[in-house]
Amino acid sequence: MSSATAHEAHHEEHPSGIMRWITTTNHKDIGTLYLWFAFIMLFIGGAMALVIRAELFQPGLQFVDPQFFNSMTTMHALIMIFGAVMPAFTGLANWLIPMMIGAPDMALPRMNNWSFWILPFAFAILLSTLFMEGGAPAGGWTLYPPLTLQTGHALPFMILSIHMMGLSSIMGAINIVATILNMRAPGMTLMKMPLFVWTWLITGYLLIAVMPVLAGAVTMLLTDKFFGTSFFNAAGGGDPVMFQHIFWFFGHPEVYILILPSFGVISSIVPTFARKPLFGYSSMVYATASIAFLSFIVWAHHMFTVGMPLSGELFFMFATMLIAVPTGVKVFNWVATMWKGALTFETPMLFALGFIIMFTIGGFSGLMLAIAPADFQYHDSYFVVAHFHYVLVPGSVFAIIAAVYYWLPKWTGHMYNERLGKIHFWLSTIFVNLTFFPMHFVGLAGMPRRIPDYALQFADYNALSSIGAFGFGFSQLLFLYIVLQTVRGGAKAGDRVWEGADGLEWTLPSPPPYHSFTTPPAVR
Amino acid sequence: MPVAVTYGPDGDRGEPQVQIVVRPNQSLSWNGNKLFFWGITAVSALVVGPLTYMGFWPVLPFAGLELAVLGWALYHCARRGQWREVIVVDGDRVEVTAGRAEPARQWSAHRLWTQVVLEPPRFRGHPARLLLRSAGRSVELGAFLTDEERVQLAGLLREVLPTPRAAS
Ligand SMILES: [Cu+2]
Repeated sequence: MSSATAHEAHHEEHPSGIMRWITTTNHKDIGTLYLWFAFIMLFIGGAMALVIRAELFQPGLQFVDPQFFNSMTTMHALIMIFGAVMPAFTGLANWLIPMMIGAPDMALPRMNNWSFWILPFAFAILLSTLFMEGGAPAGGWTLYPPLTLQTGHALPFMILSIHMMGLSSIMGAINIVATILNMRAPGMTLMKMPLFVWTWLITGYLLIAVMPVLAGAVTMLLTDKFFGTSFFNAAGGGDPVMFQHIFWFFGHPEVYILILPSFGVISSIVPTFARKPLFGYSSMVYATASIAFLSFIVWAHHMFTVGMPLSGELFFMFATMLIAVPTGVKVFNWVATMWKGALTFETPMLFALGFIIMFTIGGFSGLMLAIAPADFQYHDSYFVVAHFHYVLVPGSVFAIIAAVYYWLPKWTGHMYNERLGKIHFWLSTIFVNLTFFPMHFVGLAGMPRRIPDYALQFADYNALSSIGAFGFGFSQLLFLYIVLQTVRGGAKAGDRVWEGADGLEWTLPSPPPYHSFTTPPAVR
Repeated sequence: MPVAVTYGPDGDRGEPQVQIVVRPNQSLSWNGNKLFFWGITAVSALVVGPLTYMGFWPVLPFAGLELAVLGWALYHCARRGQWREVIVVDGDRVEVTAGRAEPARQWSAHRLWTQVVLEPPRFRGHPARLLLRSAGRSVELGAFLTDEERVQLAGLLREVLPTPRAAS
């Protein structure tokens, strides 16, 4: 065939080297970029966590001054949320959603390129604040005024970077939603979509609904600081507590943006290794939608202690507790899927099981925090830190790791090293619990969060947490090694990598094609 | 596959006729897209309206801008979903007509002098290109198909072009 001449004819359209990655509009390329970006951010945010844990290894001030310590907690959160977990899920969406619904690419490939390439600039700006006069932002990732307005030169740069992150995730969400709605293959009706697609559709909806609220909130911080407005300035007639309401109106849906796609991942993995179809597919869809709906009416559970009317406290308390119902449905369905299944425990399944158990621990501590009178005691303590790290690390992060192990053979055409994968799982699981479980105890005993020093009675548990954190952090280097090893080579993976796997993406050859099979995918 | 083939009656001179219509996936109607858009706009209004009323109006332009982009994206998708590529093999002629409401691209050649070219991608995982080529002129077909659908279309064309009846 005359493909050689054709290549020359189109040479200009296909830049090579680095330009290929900068100009790419291909969903697989962009998915890969997102995932590597998230991986790098995981290590940067992780390094900051290790600064925190090094300082907290012993009581007293050892390594950093308190201002820098607070910068570390703030930056760690912003980087992990906006730089690691969200881009990782967007990367998974890019890779998987077109393959899962039988579409050739994302709906808006050029916008897809922009959504990704905004991110490196956003985080370069955010990280550059570490070197600015007055230091990096240190008022917490929740940016409460008036404290956050005391940030030095970094404030406008941080706000610009948050705007850019928001822009990126909104464009990503619009793209994903438009793809899922419009580009499904004939026969792929909504109620036949894989749950990962469903959870992302709902996540995209949440992103579209709440990101402008964050953008508005940080803009008002900016104008309060530099343009003399008083949105949140009590001296000028503004209301600082309203910032908390507005922020958490964004913030609570945001935490579901961080967890809903994991539910989709787990719902894909568990049936494969149980060799049974997912139990209660439609109830999973409705549960996800219910969780999304409830996420709009629970925001003030983050601010029980600001002095709300009792009726408000009660409403937000009961609404929050309601979330346990659809979440319980999900956990029940995963367990019921495994019931009497022919279970095997390859690495993705191990991480999925770890997710189910440890996410549930985080869910229960969430229920404890939802009890308004009890929350007065727990508020701003390490118990809260323990709670949200359980849902985010052995929750979201474990789901992302599980997804990488599960689909990496599909992406690269190579099988990862199963033995190393299992070692990675056990190291991660042991150390993640060593890190975060003791935080429950110091929190209940009264240790406040976001402090570089603490009373002597908390010393032992903090030392354990620090050991766990370093163990967990360095265990992820093993993950990096396993991924690199798999990308570079290894045993060939078959098309249907896992014998129990179901779904359109497994009917494509690994790695996904040039030109492969001649029968159309049939949606059952 | 979003490809429809019809075999017409033999023409006056007894030549076979084949018509192939290729279309992109379009899983949601324009009305469905509008429903989704107005649904999410209503939710946004419920959020942004009270905030604006309370004086926190800076959320309003961001929400408006975002919904405008969403609306454009859905419109763009729905419009693109109406694109059709019609390949007619009629006697000795191959004619390709592509467009939305009206033909935007036309191409024709002699049936027996038309080559079906499946150009492999430059990078692994990128889409291949399907071209009809004749006397140095080529037209791309099915850029909006998945790779496997494109291969299928190529196979169909390779069967139909030399002898239109072979495919029936
Ligand atoms: Cu919340």
